[in-house]
Amino acid sequence: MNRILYLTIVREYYRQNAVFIFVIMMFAFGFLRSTEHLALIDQALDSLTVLSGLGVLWLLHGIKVVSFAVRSLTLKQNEFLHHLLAFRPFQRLLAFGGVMFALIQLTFLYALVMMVFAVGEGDWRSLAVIVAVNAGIVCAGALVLERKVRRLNSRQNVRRKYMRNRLRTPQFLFYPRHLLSRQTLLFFLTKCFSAAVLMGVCLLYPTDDYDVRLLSLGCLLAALSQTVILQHLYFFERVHFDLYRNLPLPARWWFGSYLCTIAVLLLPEAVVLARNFPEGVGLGEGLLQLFFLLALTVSLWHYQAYVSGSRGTAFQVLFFGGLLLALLIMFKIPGWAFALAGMGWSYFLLKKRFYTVE
Amino acid sequence: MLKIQNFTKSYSGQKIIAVDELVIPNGIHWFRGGNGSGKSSFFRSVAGIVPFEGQISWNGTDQKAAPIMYRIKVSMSEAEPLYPEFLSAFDILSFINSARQGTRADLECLTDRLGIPAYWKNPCGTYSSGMLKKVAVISAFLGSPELIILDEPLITLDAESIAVITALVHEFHSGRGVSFLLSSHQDTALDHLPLSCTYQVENQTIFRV
Repeated sequence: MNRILYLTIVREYYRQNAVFIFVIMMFAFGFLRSTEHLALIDQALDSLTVLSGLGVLWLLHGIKVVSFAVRSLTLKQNEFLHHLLAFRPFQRLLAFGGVMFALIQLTFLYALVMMVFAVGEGDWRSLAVIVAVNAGIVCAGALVLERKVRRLNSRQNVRRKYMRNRLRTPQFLFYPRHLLSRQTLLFFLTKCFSAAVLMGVCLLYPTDDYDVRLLSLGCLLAALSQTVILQHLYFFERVHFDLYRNLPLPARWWFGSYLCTIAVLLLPEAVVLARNFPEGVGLGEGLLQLFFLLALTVSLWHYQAYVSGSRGTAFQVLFFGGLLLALLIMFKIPGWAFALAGMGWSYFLLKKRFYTVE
Repeated sequence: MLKIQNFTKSYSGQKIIAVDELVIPNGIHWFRGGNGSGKSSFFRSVAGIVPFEGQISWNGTDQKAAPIMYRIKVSMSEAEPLYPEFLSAFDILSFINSARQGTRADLECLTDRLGIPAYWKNPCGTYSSGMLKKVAVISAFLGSPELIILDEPLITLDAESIAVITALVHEFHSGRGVSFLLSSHQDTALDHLPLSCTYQVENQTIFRV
């Protein structure tokens, strides 16, 4: 049972979230040096408030991995997992505990370092809190999975959740609906991050002699943060809609469709920009920044779909492409030039590789 | 007529199936072969779903040279459709129908034959495998295809639905001149169809039986 659960849930989680983990590692260890981490750990061990903040982050990550595991149990291709009911409940709980423990390694390893420091400093209170939070996440996750496996009647669940409208879902909304119904936390976290970045640059703008380059850098970061969502779009199409390539629709139709899908996905960012756009910057410039954000995200999608594919090499773009673009923005290359070039390149890639990519 | 030349389909450098030259005339053709013999890869290549080496053309329309025109003429139903649970058959079939430029009347008429409208506004997650299979099979009949590829069209279907599908194949072939490539492990179910040829998929190639 442990091996089956490892292959269907744990390995699949790390495979699907490789980019997410990479981005987290990049932010955790790219922006903060080891001395700053040590200072953070010291602060967390001294202050229960800081420690609670870290606990909330671990909890959020715990919710993410539990959601993934629950989803895996209900997938059609994993229906053989229904046989888990044949095992004794205690055995199952232990196995689910193992799964949860394997899934929270990203946060647990950090917690482990904190525990070592807590033992070294003899700070037993902090040690108890760290152990309790992590053990709590593992136990609660195992109980959630146990409850789910006892009520594996996905048909009723889906039926209950389904909005019975009589309108048909247009094709460009297939993926946004998938995100909202199956990857809610990923969508929420991504949007929180990109919204925070955009709000940050908008609030920073009036505090000094910044120009629109600051807003462009914010849009660049917001576009790059969509990488994981776009990777899921790739998997969504490969799993559910390989049939797209049997349909007699021209490249311009698919390009329009992807443009609409990505525009819908970027609606939260558009709202954040519109509500916080700094005074003194014209409407035209605001629209240009939105177009820049859209074009960058569209380019990133086409790169992931038709160049990096399932090889997961999108992080190279994230690093080097992002860095290069940031430099070019700093050298005052206009945003509309990037946007037009990105759109043109994306259409070229789509037209050339839509049918030929494996 | 389906013309295949210098065809090779490989995954990660490993050859799955290769055909030097094969001409399949109009008609209803049955492809046999064990599990993993490469039938589905061949069908998916003919449908343009996966890339391959070589040339495939239908009645002179080359798949690579005229991708849109070719796909108007060639449609496919996959063996094991995996539609998203939250979408309804209505969402999916309406999209495919509009992509294939089919009429609303045709869509309703075809789905009525298999009793799909009774459940097609419910999400796919509530369907049985047979209900899903009916949706997948009917999707290949939408529009005005000249060649329909049905990969294992009869699995998971009840006797009544099998009879409707075979009747549809018969009607489309005799009434509209549509050709079919079928694969099925249920030999007896195809007895009622006027099969033109049978092909065996074996040893990484295809030959006429």
